[in-house]
Amino acid sequence: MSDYLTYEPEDFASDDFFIHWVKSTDIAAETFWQNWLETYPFKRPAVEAARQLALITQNLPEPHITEAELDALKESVFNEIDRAEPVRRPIWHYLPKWAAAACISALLLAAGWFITRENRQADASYPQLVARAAEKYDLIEVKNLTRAVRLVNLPDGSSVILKKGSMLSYPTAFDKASREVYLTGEAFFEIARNPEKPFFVHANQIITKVLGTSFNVHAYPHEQIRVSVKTGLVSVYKASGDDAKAAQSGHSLKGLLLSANQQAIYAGDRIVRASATQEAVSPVNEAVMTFEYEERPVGEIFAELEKAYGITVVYDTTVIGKCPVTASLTGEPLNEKLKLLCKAVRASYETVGGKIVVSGKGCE
Amino acid sequence: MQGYPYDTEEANEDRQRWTALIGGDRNALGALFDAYARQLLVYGYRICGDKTMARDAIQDVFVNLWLYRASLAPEVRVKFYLYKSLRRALLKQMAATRPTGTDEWENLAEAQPSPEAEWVVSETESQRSHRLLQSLSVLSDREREVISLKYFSDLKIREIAALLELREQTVSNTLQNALNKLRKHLVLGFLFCQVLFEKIF
Repeated sequence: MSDYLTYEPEDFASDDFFIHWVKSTDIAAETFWQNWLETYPFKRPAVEAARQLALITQNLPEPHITEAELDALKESVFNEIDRAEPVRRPIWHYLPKWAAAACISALLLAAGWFITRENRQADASYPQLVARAAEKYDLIEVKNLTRAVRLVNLPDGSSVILKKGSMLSYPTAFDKASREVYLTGEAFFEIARNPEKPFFVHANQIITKVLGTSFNVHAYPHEQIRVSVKTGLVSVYKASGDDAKAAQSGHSLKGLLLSANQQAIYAGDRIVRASATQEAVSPVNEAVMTFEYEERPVGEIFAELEKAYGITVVYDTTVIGKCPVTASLTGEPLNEKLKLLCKAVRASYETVGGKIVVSGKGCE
Repeated sequence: MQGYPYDTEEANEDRQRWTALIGGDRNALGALFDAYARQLLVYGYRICGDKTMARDAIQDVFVNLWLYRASLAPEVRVKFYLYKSLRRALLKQMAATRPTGTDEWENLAEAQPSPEAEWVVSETESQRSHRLLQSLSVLSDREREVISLKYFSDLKIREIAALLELREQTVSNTLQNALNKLRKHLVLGFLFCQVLFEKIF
């Protein structure tokens, strides 16, 4: 170890044990270096300089890579493997001949049944919608199979809270005229206002069109499709009807118009308005996705955001946690909410390693 | 200075996944992907400056890992193996798209804005990155790559040398030079460092 005495800052900074100390909270390393510094205090400036070097080099700007991108890549790896992998030996290979025949006819029967069943559902199931959209756009698919909620930030700044068992596909970049996304399952949308670019949610047989608002779409396969509006105005129409073409083009809203706190359900091939009492629809949403505050400590607001969006907000509780905020944030996308909150408490935020880090000097 | 506990723990986990992968366990491939895809993508992008190309190369690496799992050597340092495969896959792709060869490619790269510049532009509000970009501009491409492999990817000098097909001494010297430049540059930015410290601790 004595050779550390001859080390310059650059030598320390490229030493693996030194880097380990700077990066981690390992007790053994901490003890070693603290002792070493006590023994050789004249080396302190060199060690301090080296520490800074090691820290700085870990914060080099890196390209921003989202979880969604990685998920998409992982999926395409496994798809590719499935395509390239030679087919496994089928199970009837091991059975006597007559059994094989029986198996195959049973399979055919089952297949036939599935095909007719699929056809009845028109050609509007999620995989088909996505397959068609993939010809037009470069799509990213986000799945939420395990978590209660999963936040998806869209390229236009809109937020989507994807519920468990749901999938959302969206283009890597929205095109000039419209923003289109594809959903199966349930999601709550907070759309960044942009009247020039209407926002469309394709979910099974219906399309929901908005210009900037917040609403929930419930469209699990084999369940009734429901759209409920939290703020603003949306229109809901059938993917196959006459409305579809008209609504797709113009900026006006056609189809069934829904305003705040109204709901539509898709029943028997028609879209009908549902009164709030008639439906036990997502009471969770109604309660959780309201963000109205009067003189509330910002720490409490952060806690609510963490719960609603399934995110982690890191901030100094003593410095800014107590700052009071009065704001009406319902329906704003998450990024917009954070921006407004930070403005209110004179702080700023950035996203670091999937966490939202808020820093500021406090309100007083 | 080798063989710290943090090292062996990570390596053990990798070795288990590797053995399981050779044995045909798809989940092991998934676990390796989860552990390394992000840093590989960063590294790939750094080499070629093209996210799509980096993504394709990573896909090739993992698909081949699975398809040729039977012929994988059981005793390898997994992380290094992945970096090496990715680099090989990318150089192959880059040679294919740029028929003039690698020297030409380096000249081309000089003419275009560096990947770092693009990332920083995309990070609108980040003053920090701006400052770092300034510091980085004093480094050569090679120096940046070595710094990134050492500190972002946590590779050993020995591995960086093997990866870049350079002598260990050359890598060491490159690293020292880069750190030296950074340090000189950062004396001016001492105040800024303090801010960074506050952020980190």
